[in-house]
Amino acid sequence: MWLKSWLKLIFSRTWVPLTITLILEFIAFEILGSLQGQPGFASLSTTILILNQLSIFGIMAVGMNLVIISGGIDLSIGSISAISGVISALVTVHLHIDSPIYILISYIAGVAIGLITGSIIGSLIAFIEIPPFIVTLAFMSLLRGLANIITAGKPISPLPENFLFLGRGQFLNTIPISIVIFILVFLWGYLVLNYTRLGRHIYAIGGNEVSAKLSGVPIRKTKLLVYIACSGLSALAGIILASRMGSGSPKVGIGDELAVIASVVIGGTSLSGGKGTIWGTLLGLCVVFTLNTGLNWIGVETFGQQVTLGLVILTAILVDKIQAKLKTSNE
Amino acid sequence: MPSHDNLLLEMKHITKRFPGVLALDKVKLELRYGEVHCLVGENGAGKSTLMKILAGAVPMDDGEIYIEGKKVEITSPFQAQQLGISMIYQEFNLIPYLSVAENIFLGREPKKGKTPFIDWKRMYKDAEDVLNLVGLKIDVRTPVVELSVAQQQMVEIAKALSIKAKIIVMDEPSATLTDHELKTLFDIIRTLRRQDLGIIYISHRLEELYEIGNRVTVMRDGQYIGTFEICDVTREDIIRMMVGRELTEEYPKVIFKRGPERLRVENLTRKGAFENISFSVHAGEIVGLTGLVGAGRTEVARAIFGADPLDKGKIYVDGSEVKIRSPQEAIYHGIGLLTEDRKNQGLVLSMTVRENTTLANLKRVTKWLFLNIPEEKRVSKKFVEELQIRTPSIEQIAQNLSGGNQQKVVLAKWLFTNSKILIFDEPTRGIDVGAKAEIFKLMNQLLERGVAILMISSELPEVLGMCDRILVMHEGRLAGELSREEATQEKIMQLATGYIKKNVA
Repeated sequence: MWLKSWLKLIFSRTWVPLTITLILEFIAFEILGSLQGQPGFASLSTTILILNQLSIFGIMAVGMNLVIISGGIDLSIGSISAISGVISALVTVHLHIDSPIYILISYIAGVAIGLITGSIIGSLIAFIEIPPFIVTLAFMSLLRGLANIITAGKPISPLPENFLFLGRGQFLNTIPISIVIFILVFLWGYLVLNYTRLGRHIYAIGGNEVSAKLSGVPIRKTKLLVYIACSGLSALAGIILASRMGSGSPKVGIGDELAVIASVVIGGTSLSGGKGTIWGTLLGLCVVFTLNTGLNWIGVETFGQQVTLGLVILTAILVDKIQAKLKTSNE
Repeated sequence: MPSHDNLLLEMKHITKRFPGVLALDKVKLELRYGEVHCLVGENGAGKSTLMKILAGAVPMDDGEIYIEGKKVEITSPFQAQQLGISMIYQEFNLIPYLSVAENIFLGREPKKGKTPFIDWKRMYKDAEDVLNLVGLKIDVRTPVVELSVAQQQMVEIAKALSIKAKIIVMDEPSATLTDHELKTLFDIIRTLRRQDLGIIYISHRLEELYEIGNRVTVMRDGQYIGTFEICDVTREDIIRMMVGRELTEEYPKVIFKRGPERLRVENLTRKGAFENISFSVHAGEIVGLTGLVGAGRTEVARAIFGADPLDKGKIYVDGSEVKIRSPQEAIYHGIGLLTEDRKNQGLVLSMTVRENTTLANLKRVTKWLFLNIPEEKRVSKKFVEELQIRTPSIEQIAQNLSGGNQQKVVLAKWLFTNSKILIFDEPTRGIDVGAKAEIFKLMNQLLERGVAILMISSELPEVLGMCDRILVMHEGRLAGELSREEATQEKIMQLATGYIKKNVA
């Protein structure tokens, strides 16, 4: 009996097992690192390193979280981030003036590409009612191809010094700008989901579209906005990435959708829609990226990381099942 | 031939605890050969838990089960099936895109000799045989999705017969049937009874018990109240035992002064669904819209509410013509629709009572760009008190409420939009006797405030009991209108079946 009540305590809320996992990750990598003569994983500098990596994915994850809660999915985010980075870099190179105003114009151009694609994707889903999986699968391929055609498959570089501000700049010489942007995006997501009509509509549509429609929820408008938001944020992430790498490459972001969807789902958002929180997504991101960084720390390469990520996703789904079981035995 | 005094099934001292509640407290149930045994009780009385134990879906904490005198342990649904127990749930367990025959023999498909290949010829032949037993004449190759609800139910019964079930449990089999289909179901049940099968029949419609049942067992709050020969107890007795108190009035009708016209529709037409529907509803009155299932009542309601497009016709709200192309526009004009299917069309079950209450009018709790959550909580608490919604808190997920309380949450949602015209589609379906009366009382309160109600219902007693005027539809047309005074079940049925035509005044 005590085991059951113990399990209940651990699994009663999504954040409990995730926080425990996160702490265990830090402890494990600290120990494993020390054994290899490389202590110091559990430190402020590593945390900032993790957050810096996480920030780009996190910006996309906030959008993806909205999409998945609304009952949809977006597979095109990696390709959108690539084409936005490319367009942004191209505009900078063509303007050929390294001043903040012109750089801002190139950033805006990149985000605009994201918003335009988001509107097209959203319209196809909301008005023509094509399943999101198919629309975004098509755009994943289409945009990747376009990015490669525009650049002839080669990265656009070098980029002017000012362009690198978003990706490499630091706020008050300590916190990377990308983390600051992520925090702002996160706050925006928090407000939207919890304190706006749009957020409530997103939950309602994901929970039960028919009931939502019959309650007067503007289904089409909401869906459209959700995909525009997700694409726009992915574009922003793509620009930060280009700025960090110092080049607009058509090859970036391949497979990013997987890491992002994984983080969101690990954070407790249900793929069938209607359920999920922004805090869960943040924890999901932390768990995934601490793992990645930690594996790098102890010298496990990409292939090993892919295997581990797969295992983490499976574990998260098992935990979700256990929670559901415990809930029903409660009634 | 087993003697009728022997028991086919005996459940004794069945006890089931869920954390915090005693769901079943030493309950007993006996079933004779060739008996239709009715099981009644309000929602939450423990009927379904008892049946789930019998079906092996839920383990019991204490008690004994005997089948044909032998003690049995039922630990899984599969084992229950082996013991000859078959459940027919309200939601059917049929696979829509498989054929009737495939559904009947799912998991037990006849094979060609020892090969792994299905013997289709034999399967179709056997399926036809078993369908003949229930008197259903359809091609066994038809996909189930193309069948009517009644036909699907027949298929479920056929399936039960094909596995040689001795005990068949029917959970609210009549809820979705028209009167005509119900007659067919009763005929089948009588045939099964003659074959010495035992049937446990769960229903909220007490009048059915007298037509089909032999004995009745009443349950209340997880307790066994008693078992009686149907002929020994009156309807009122049963209701009293079910609710544990005297129910003053089943239909607490109050006649209010008829106010101004709220809603008028003229020549509403939607091809293939309904034609030339005209009527009006005034403040302070309930207009019933009845007819057989499939007559187009729900379709009319959906069209008025903007959920489906209209081909022709005009809608007037408070005397002026309005264009309604979406539920949003209907809500804007003060119309609310309480759908028949609360779980799938009325509520977002994953959201809380609070969130469901404000969903149709979030603007009213929005300040600047943001939702005013404290205000939302206040509003929601007010409705929970006013409508006496039984929920531990406003943060409870709607899924966890009983049918009657879910219906109240839907009602709260429309009250919060200040709807002046409310369309109730089968408002009491699946709701127990006590909660029904509460819903009707709430309707009275609404009428007093000047709301106009259009009530779609197949339950003739409630139509006769609550409506001021009754519109009857037949095959997509209005067959006639009856006043409260002149209406009788017979007159309604004559109109509904197209037996007589009456000009609409």
